[in-house]
Amino acid sequence: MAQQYRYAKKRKRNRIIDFLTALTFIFLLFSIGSFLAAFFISAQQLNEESTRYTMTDGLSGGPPSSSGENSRQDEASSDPAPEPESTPEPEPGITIANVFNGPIPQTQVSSLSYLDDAVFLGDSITNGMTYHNMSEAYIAAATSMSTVGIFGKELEQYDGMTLFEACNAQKPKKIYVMLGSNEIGGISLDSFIDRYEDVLDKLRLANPDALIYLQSVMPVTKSYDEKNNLLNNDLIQQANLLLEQLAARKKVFFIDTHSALADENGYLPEEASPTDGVHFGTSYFDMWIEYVLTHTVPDDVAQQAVKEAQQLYDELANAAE
Amino acid sequence: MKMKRSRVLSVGIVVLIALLTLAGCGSSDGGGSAGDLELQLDLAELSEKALDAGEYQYEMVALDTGKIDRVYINLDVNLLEDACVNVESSRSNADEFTAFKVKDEADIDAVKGAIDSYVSTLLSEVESYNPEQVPRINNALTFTHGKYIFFVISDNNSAVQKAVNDYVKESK
Repeated sequence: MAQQYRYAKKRKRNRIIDFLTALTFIFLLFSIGSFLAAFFISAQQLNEESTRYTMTDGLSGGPPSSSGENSRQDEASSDPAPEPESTPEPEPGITIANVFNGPIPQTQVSSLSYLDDAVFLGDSITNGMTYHNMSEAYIAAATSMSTVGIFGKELEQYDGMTLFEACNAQKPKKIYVMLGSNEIGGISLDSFIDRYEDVLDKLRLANPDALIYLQSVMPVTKSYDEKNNLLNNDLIQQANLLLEQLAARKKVFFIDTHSALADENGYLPEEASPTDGVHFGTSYFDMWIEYVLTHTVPDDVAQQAVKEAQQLYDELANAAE
Repeated sequence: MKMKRSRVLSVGIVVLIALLTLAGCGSSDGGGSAGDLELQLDLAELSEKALDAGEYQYEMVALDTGKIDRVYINLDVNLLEDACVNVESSRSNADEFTAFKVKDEADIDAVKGAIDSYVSTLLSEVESYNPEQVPRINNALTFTHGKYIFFVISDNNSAVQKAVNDYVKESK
């Protein structure tokens, strides 16, 4: 009787074990099934993605789908830099006789592609252009840069090159240079202009065929100006007058970008720079680019101007010999 | 007796396999799951939510994806499937919300390395020029969900992370 009871108990235990084993097998089969299904779906998706991005060569080949790039920029900037309209006709007002006599006057709007072979060379103000959607222009700019720093500081972000070298490496057809915000007030204006002259000489010698546009230094806000900072609008305006004269001497084009952003009192509007009074946001970058594109030198005049500049440097070289 | 042994052995093997299978599902990086690896997020929409949550004080701008490697200089953009880099528009403030999605989960560390390198560059840029940004950059937050890597500099990083986590939950 006791033995029968033990067998019955054993049979019961075996049935439970069988039941649990079967349950585990079912669970295992389910897991494997799910895993295989997930694997095949993922493989299919990866295959699709791979096809998609092989076509665009990764992100560098073009924006992929849903990044929503510039979404906030688009919102903030209802009037971005002008889109291509037409190739500018030669402006009757700009001739080889007057192209170096003061700031380039307003011209017909050039296409954004005018800047595709350009380099913007400058400090942190210019560096901000990196973050704003514009042409294919190359930005050779970094924080704290000066007329001396562009030759001396090797930058990791430019493969260890200085800004000057990074600019030249692009073999630019046009160079837009703006420096001064980090040194006006720190050194005398005479020294600043001497240093800037050195910049223009070296740029011309390294890029004999390039159109060089010297941009006036941007204004600062009234509140920044009144904080007894070394950099103020009075000094900036004095420097800009001297830069205009320097541009004429060195036969480069002077464009008064300062006037593009300054208010009626010569200040950068407060709303333009809520962060620090010097650096500005999207809509002011758009105004800057728009100004640049509406102050270009017509091709025929530009080519003559470059020849005149080359002649000037040849004469200087001959005189030095 | 033999029968009993083989039964116990088979049960043991089955249980072991089952446990190993379950362990494999939870092995993805960043505490993610197999579901995380299949995540598809709308980075533009997510950015909106994150930027709202982070109480970013100044205007933010999304960097053109073609220019990401000009800013993240050590990042191989070919590893990326999708990206959205939002920075303060004048760049005088370090505020940032960035999301990268890698094509292959194995490349997450490479992207994290590029972010570390970017942080070093940022620090070297602001140290003398804009020193009040240094502690904000030092407090930058990096975290992952599946194949997504997020990088945050804000005055409220935890709120940004929560917004991202909530969005990820909604998207699953």
